[in-house]
This record gives sequence, C-alpha cells and structure tokens, in this order.
Amino acid sequence: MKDQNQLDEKLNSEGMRAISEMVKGLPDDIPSMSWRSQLNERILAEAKPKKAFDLHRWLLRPAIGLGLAAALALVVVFRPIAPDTTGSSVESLMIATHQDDVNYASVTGAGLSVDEMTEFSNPTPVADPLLDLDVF
Amino acid sequence: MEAGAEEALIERCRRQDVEAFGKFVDAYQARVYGFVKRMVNNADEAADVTQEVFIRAFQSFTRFDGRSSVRTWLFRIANNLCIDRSRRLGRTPKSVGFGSDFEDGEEMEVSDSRWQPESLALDAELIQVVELGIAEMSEKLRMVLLLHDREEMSYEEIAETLSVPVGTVKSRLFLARAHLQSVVKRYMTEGGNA
Repeated sequence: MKDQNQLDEKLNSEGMRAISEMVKGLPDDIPSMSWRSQLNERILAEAKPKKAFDLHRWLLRPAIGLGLAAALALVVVFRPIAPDTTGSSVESLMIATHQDDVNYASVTGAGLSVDEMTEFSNPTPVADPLLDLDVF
Repeated sequence: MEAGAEEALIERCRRQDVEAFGKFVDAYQARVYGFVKRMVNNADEAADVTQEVFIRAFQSFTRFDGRSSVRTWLFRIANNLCIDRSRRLGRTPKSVGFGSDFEDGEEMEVSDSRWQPESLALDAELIQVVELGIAEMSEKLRMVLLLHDREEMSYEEIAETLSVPVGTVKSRLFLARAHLQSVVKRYMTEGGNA
C-alpha cells in the first residue's frame, strides 16, 4: 500500500506530468482518404453476406424443415404393411401360395400354371397328322 | 460525442447498420490509427492493422455487451491485434523494458537543473525525439503510456484492457515516463534545446 502511494506520488510529480503532457501533445495521425474508402468497401462486403445469411436463415431453413417433416409424416402414416408369410399357419401358407401364383402368372401369363406352361412348351409330337384328323 | 448520441450510435452498430458504423469509424479512426502506428512503428502496416481493427469491431459488435466502454473495447481489439502481429513476426521486446537502468532510480531523478518541464515546447525536433523514445520502449510500456497519456484512459480501464492488475499498470507507466524523461534530458544535454 505504501509502495502504491509512493508510486502515485511519483506519477503525479511535476516531471512526470510534463512528460504526460508532452505525449498528449504529440500530433494526431489521420489515415488517408484511400484508406477510408478501402475500409468502407470491406465493411460493405462484410455486411452483404450477413443479409443473405439472414434471408437463408429466416425463410429457407424453416421451409426445408417443414418439407422434411411432412415427408417423414407421410412415410410413417402410409407405410405399407407386408403380410407375414414366414410362419407355418394356414393363413401364412395360403398367402405364400397366392404370392407364388401371382409370380408365376406374371411370368407365364394368365390362366397357365407351371405344369401347363411346361406341357405346352414341349408338345408331344403327333406321328401322323391325318391320324390326328380322324379324331374329328 | 454526447453519451446519449453515442449510446444510440452503438445500438445501431450492434444491428450491423453500415451507416452508423461509418460514423463510429469517423469518431475513432485517428485515435486508433495513432495508437497502432506507434505500436507497430510502420505507417503501412499500421494502416492495415487499423483496418483489421475496425473490421473485427464490425463483425463482433453484436457481441458487445456494454460492460466496458466502447473505447476500452475498441482499444482492446487494437491492442490484441498489435500483439498478434508482433508474435507472428517473432519480434522480441526492445532494449528498454523491465530490468532496465530506470529501476535503480538514478535516471528517474528529476531534480536535474537542466530539467525544466515548463520550458519544454514541442517543436518538430523534440516531437521526433519523443516519438523515437516511445518507439524504443518495450511493447508493454508503450501500450500503457499510449493508453494513459494519449487516450486518457484510467488505470482501471487499462488494467481491464490489458488484463493486468492496476498496480502493474502504474509501475509500467512510471517506467515508460521515466524512460522518456531520460531521452528528453539526453536531448537537452546534447544541446538540442539550446
């Protein structure tokens, strides 16, 4: 505390105050006009992206968020429920059979079973065509 | 600038108002440039650093909370950028600093008959001597001297700006002024003021 008081006294002495006044009286430096215009350009450049960012933040982001939320809700609400065909119950077996039939039909055409398809793709050759006409 | 007007200006600057920030630059550019120029000792570099000070101020004005004065805040930015630059360049403090010959008290004696502060007029030559005396100080002393004697900041404001105790600010100011005193005395002894 004593040291601090001594320091305060020294700082307020005439010689120290004279130095202080001398430093205070040093001439001011003013930056050039070109410096100032360059600074103005940089400030404007800093300000512009800020406005674009605000627009993005306040308009575009909520819109994107709402869109994503709506799409997610649609997926959850209208999710297709696949029938269980893995079990061994009668219902599962019936569904599995039906699906097999549908698959066959998509390959071979309506009204033909696998066996029919095999039979018609390899017809038994008729030995005598006329003999065959005798049927009628 | 009046307190109310400055408060309104600061509020507009917080909202990134470019026009208001232009007025803010008008109010402080000479002081900040003068401080930075004396800190970096190079006019071109000082111009670059001063621009950076104002760009940083513009960018961070939204975070200025008003706990310290805007001047203290601005000079803290300036001071930090000067320190960053100094570190980047790897410059070490110059010869005048702590542990110099001023600490023995001999050079601080102001009873020398040649030392007549009241008769000292700041002519061009003496201005140059004082500027050189400031330039050869260590950065720590220079900062305190400029902030206190040029910018008229209080000990408490400087302590806050530099994050050092008030006692440290006073002792640095004392060493800085004592150095300048010896520089001016030397100039007078050599007949510069005769």
